[in-house]
Amino acid sequence: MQLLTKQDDAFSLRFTREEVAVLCNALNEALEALDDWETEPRMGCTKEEAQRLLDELCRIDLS
Amino acid sequence: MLKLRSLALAILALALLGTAGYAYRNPAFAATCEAACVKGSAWVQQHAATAGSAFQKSKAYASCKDGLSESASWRQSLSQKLAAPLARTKQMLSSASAPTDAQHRPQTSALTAGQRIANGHAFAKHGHASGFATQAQMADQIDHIIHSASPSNVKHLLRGRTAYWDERTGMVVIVDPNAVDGGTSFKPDRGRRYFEALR
Repeated sequence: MQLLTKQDDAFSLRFTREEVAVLCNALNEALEALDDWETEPRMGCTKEEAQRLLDELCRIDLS
Repeated sequence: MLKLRSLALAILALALLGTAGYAYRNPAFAATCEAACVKGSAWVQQHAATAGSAFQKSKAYASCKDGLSESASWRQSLSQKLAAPLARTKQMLSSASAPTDAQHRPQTSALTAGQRIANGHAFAKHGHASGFATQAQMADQIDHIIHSASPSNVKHLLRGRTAYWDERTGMVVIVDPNAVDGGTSFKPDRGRRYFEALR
């Protein structure tokens, strides 16, 4: 991963194919392992927010 | 001592080089050298036979001859002494390389993907929750899922892994040739959504 730019709350990052895959899998496993009530305290976001981020990442064609 | 020898060799080499150079420049000197060499070689040939017979009569020659014959007989007796231990060692090595009972047991590669996964950690962690009473049941189910999965229920993941989704049972199978257990299998709470997000 490489940090390209940082402006206020926005970051530009460069990921390799494998890094994107690892992020997807990590989020997927976290969503699978955590109960609803514990997701926000442990991840800092709701299950729905984490799922939305995962869906966005999954849209990236890694083939 | 070494320096003296080197110095002597250097002087000899220089003298030979000088003689050769002078002979090249002066044909008369070259002819003299050639005549001297011819004479020298004739003298060596004449006295070689005499010198050889004299050496054969000397004590040094007799001592060398005795030493060589002793060495030959020593080698022969040594090989006779070592023959038995050598044969025993060869026998031990051949019996050690022969296959044992343990080596006749099925190898990991001979197991099916389902057997490898069910014999690993997956059964203890997910087997009962997935409704299996035995490892064999779990192995059969995993193999069935792998072999009957339609293309839409198969995902080729990074690093040679393959994921299978079974709609009927809600089970996911991940075959990983790099993992010790050969992969895993369980029923994800999020069902197909979990399978779809696998990369």
